[in-house]
Amino acid sequence: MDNQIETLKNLWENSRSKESGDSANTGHIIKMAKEKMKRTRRMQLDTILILSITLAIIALYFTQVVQLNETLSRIGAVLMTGGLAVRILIDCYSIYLSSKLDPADSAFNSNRATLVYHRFRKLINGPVTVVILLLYSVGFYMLTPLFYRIFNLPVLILIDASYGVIAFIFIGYIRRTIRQEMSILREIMQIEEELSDPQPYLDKEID
Amino acid sequence: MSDNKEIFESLYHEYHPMVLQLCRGYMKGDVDLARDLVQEVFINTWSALQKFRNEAAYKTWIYRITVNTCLNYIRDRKNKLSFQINEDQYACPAEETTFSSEKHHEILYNAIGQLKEVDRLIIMMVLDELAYEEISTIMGMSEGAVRVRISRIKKKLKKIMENG
Repeated sequence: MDNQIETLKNLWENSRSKESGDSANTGHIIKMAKEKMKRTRRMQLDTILILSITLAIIALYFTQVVQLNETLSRIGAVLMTGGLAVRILIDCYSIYLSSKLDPADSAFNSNRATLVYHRFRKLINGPVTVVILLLYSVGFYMLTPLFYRIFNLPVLILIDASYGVIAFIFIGYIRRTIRQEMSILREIMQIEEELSDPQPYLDKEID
Repeated sequence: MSDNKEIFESLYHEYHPMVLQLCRGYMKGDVDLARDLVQEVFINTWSALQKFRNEAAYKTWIYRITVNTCLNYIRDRKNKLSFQINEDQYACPAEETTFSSEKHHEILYNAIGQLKEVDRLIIMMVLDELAYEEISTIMGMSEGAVRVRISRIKKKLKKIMENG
């Protein structure tokens, strides 16, 4: 067996490229690294920004434009704004978790941190988003009596129907995201299994 | 920042061949994919450089980044570009090499490429003559587990090489 490993070792040594890294490339790599960091940060902050603007507009509408006299409307407004606020907080926590991922940690620790991060993402992109969407939708439809005072019936029907269509499309998007997260999780878990201490009975795997 | 740039340049200059070879082994000999992966490794190296605290030697530190980048790379590419590596194809480099060295590369990367991803990385560290202790630090496994694992990988490699 040692002969074969020695053969591989020799082949390995001979196959190592003699070229050292060209320092001219480093400027390009640094630029790419900075762009990557900026892009990642912008993607994370964009979601929070969009949700925050939506929350601000809704909150302004409920406090400055219309008067919420009925309990039903008030509960509806709380469900809509509350759901969005919770989602914003969760996204902030997600950024914190992603900042904890360290590419220079040991393979096991790094993989475990990635697993924790993606489990959290699966949770927030799946059940949590579904619950928030549900509460948001219930809140939206609870505002129907309020909208009825503002809009005429055809416009009201159009608003409610459009919301239903948008929610349906969004559910499709959530399902796709969950599938993606599940596929990522499966691969991370497989790597975790490979990184775990070997068990004696696994010797059979080489046959 | 200027200090970091100087450190990065010297790391890139010194460890580029080592990282390229590891990436090439991981990518089953495909030089283009390996170069792509090397770039990703050094992008991560630059990003992590600010956090480097001299707790490990630069070599071990770069190894860790390389191993983690390799393990994440295929998954990330699959999700972004529906990227797939053909498991049965061990494409060897389109480099200007003699027939015999090309054949040798093929034997080497064909053998390594048949191992699982983690085993592939471990055996390349063995071929690089890293101590068990270093491998265990990089992988985050106990030294005993590394020994058992390496012994199994060697058995697998023997079988692979015997079967041609």
